[in-house]
Amino acid sequence: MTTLLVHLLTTSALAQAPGDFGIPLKVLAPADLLNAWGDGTTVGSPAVASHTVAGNGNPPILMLYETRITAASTACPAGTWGIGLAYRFGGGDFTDTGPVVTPDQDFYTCVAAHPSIVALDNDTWLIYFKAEQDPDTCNPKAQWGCDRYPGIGRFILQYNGRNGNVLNYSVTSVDTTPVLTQVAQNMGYPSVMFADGEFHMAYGQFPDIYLTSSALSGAYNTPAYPSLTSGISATGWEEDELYTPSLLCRTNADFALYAGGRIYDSTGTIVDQGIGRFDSTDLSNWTEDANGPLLRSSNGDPALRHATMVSSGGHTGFGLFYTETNTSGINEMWLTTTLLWDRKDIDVQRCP
Amino acid sequence: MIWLALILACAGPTDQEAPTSAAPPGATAPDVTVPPAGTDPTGGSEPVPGVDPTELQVQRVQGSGALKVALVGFAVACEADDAWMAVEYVGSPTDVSITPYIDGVPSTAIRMAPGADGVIRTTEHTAEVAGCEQATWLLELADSHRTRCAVQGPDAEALLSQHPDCQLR
Repeated sequence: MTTLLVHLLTTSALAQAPGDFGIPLKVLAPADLLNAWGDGTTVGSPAVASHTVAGNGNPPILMLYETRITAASTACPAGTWGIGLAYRFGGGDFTDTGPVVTPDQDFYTCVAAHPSIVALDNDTWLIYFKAEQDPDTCNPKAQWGCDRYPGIGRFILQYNGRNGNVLNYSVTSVDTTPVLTQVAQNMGYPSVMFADGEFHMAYGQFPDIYLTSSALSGAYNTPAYPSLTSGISATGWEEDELYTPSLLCRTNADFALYAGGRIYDSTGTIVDQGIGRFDSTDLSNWTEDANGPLLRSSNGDPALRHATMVSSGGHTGFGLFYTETNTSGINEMWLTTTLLWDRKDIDVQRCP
Repeated sequence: MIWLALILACAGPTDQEAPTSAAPPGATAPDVTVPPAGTDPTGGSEPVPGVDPTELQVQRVQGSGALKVALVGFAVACEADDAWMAVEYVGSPTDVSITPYIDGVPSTAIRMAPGADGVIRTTEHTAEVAGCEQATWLLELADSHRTRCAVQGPDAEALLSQHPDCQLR
């Protein structure tokens, strides 16, 4: 009860702007995963959508997440990783439904991670994910070759209808052809929206953020230059790296990109992390929010790894899903929201 | 306790997060009567009054052939009067067609061949379309369950008014 009181007092005292986030709530931990799938060390990289029409005013929130399945090996230096789907009605913890993609005998023999979700319809979603393969066991005749990072995978989630109080969904196998195959290096955290007839994908490639657009989901060109370069902000919150972008559209000519920023010391240790916002009308020219970063670990905010920003109510409320490492070294998923966050009215990232 | 009650009553109009797994104030679902089990015939396009879902189940399927038809991507490019069209979709449509409109007048619909099997199926077609650069395009996909369509081009909003269920691209 005390916690509830503190939360209400704190959030009520906050102004109604993206930077005014309340007390974080833990929403998913490795121990919550169905049948204990994964190796119990991490959940992260959330991709979130709301299925508005299916809930009778209490729509399910769908969350794709990554988890590690096995530890690092010679074949897979980052370990093997898969993607699961969790959901919730109302507030509180997410309920896991188990894995939807696990490493397979294809271009993602090691890793399927960093999911991003974009609505195609009122009942169908396209999900992209970062892929990694073992170059020593790859198919050398495949068009994407034997690079460890062969590009971005795709699969589909579709609502099937309901039986009583149960909502049924289908998730497809992974499309056989990755996209963005020319990137072929350690890029990640794709974030995709649909606006003005095209898919737009932002992704991190150390130390900057790139953006590419295409009317077809599988025909992106690899950009030659970053769209957002780290080390530009006067406040220096993204001095050494911009990463984990969240691309949002308010209209088909009014866009926001939320991104993580990092500062490293001379040994490569992260000494500060933040989340900032950039605005654009053309997806080419971006202006940093005049108020600087919205959250920053040096200000006592969480470490904010793998952050995904979600808006609600026509961009009046905001929810930031992110991963934080607990005292036992386990990565858990958290959510912090602004006062006007409305989980029943999450914005669809299609404009139109 | 009175203060707490006042705070709860003034917690705000939106459905915010609460720091416990319990539903937040004002979010308690009314008592409902769950109808007999059966697949929702609307396929999810409409809510079912009086029923609050409480559970979600996911099944894995191979490819997208068993899915309801849905449009993924749609592109048209013109070179003089030659039109190149590409459509990405999921499901098993019985018909994929594109109709060019010039000055609001439809030309003959162009039937697209089925895309290669896969999850996201892509079909491409090249055709001569007089006035290609000025054309507005109506894409229609249909299976036995439903139709999906999209419009794009300079008069897309006008065409959308005649096909209000279509996506604007």
